[in-house]
Amino acid sequence: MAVFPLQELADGRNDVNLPFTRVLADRLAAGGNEIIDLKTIIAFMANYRIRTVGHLDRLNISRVRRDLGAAFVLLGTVTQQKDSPEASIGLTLNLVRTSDVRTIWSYIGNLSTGKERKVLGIGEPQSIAAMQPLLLDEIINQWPWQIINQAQKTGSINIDSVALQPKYVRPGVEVHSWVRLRDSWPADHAPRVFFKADDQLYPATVSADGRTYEGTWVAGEENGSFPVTLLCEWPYRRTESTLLGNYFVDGNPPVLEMTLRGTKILDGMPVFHQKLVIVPRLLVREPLSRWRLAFYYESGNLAGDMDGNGDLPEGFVWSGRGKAGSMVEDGVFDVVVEVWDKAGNLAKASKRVELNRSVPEVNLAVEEKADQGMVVDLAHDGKVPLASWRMEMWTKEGKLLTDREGKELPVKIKLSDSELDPKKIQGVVELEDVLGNRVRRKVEDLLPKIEKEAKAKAKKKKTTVSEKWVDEF
Amino acid sequence: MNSDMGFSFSTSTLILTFLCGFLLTGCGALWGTRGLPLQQQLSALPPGPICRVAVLPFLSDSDFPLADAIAGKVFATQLQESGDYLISQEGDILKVYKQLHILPGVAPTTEQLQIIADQVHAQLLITGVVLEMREDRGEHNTVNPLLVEEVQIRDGHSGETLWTTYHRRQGSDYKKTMHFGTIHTVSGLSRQMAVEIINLWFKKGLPQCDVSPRS
Repeated sequence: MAVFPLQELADGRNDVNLPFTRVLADRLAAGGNEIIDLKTIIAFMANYRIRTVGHLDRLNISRVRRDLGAAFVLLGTVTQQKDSPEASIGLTLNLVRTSDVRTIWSYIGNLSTGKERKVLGIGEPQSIAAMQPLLLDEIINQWPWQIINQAQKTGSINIDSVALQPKYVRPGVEVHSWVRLRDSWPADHAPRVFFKADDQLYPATVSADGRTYEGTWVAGEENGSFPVTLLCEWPYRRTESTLLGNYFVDGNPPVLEMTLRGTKILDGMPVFHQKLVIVPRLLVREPLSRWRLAFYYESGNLAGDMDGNGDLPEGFVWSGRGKAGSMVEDGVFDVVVEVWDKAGNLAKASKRVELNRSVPEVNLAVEEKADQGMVVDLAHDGKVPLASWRMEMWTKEGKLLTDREGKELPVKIKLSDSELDPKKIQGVVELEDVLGNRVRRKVEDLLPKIEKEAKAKAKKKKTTVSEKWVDEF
Repeated sequence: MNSDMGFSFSTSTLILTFLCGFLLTGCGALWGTRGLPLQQQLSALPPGPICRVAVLPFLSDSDFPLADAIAGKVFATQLQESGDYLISQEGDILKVYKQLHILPGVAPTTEQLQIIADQVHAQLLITGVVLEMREDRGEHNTVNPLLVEEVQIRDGHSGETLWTTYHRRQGSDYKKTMHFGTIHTVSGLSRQMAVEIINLWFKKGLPQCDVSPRS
């Protein structure tokens, strides 16, 4: 509230009563009103060349609101004040709301010795000095506390738009703020404008139209949230500030870890054959700006990648497809997950994994041993251990020769029919390794091997013939 | 029984005699002795609600220093307090006076009144003249003020006088019993007379503003 100097009509139309103005302002301040310093008011009047007291025009009342930030202006006139022949004082007050320049409360008070006369004459005020406290009491009793309390504190900084970027920043990175105000001031009365952040003042540069202010500063080393306020300093020591927003300094990268699921550890290396489940996890939750998942060949070349904005998905499933969507060849890959927090801090987690989709190699051999008859040698090639195997054999007539299963190879299986022609053997061999790679082979398909072996034996026999021929040769 | 009745009768007679004597000696100039302000309606008020009112600086034919300012300030403040009108700021009115080169103590012409009303967006203009203001000596070294004033309601559009009200009072007119009730200051008397004039206006049909509440 701005309490303007009271007009004094005792001696002249433009006299001022500063002592009573001060007393009134102090009394109102003691009652809980926020009163603007009288020196500030006088400086304001000087600045706008207000030479009369007791009244203000709309323009100056608006200026009081804009420049002094006052929600109310108290104007008044001491209509009379004298000690003799009878001490008397008269006062009119008008409380004007600056937002709509409307008088919302008025007061007319007058006291005199005769009016305050007591029956026995005890305690009658005999001087103006004795009457002033009584008048102040009456003003305080009639003061519109409810209206004052309901009125929100008004500011003269009317913001049109604000930009504060970046919102999240790493230490040492520049922060830029841009503010456009609804009001402008004449050059000789323009406020000095600063951006205040982290208890530091940064001067703002003003645009040609006098409404846009910009400022840039470097974010400090300390992590945390820092409010930014626009601070305007007008003449006559009035300062007003308004909160623009906050920015967050973050110098710590996220703490990221990654787990791979769906793999088997073989020779210390996680190996998968079909789908790799990648689960990245932030040990300390924080918002992310973006992420990237990439697969690199052992050589370092990129096999494939994907990225996205915002927080990480709960997990990824890689089925072994590359950049073009085609399946990549088996091999060793580096799985890399990268995340950037809102401030741009990078965190990276990587793991090496092997893709192995090769099926177990079946080796089947049928031998006729003199003492055991027909014996099948079943074995497999490959470094991936077997999880299980199964083999059935029967004759073309449907006679079951063997039905075996197990977990380890190689194994020798004696067939029940010792005089069997290997060409007449039918059957199935199934192998599954620990990765889940499966193979199911027909024994007939494996027969060429048997035939080959038979041919080899025949060849061996022919060799014998040949030897004979050689002998003949 | 009789003696009781006789005692009772004589007591009542004494009280009545005392009261009559009190009134006849002038100590009891009660409300009935004071008349209402004299009011004359020259034209009807503008139709519709009236909210924006400007109280122009009063004039003074009195030798009392700044009688116009005292009576004018008090009247404007009292009208604000009584009628909930949107009273034009005195600063705005004086600004127009300055623009029109109207000197203090000089009455604006009709054309100037129209300009003033237009610039402060007033539907009604209140003008006033202090015909007499003085501070007479009262009893026991007190002051007995006297005020004679005439207040006009003018149409803001035409500047013409619609209503005119004449009022004359002195502080002792308000004495109730002994010295109590007497008004001892010109400010206090100005206020009391303003209250009476404004109340008469309301009684005669001056509409009060019905805009949003002050808070």
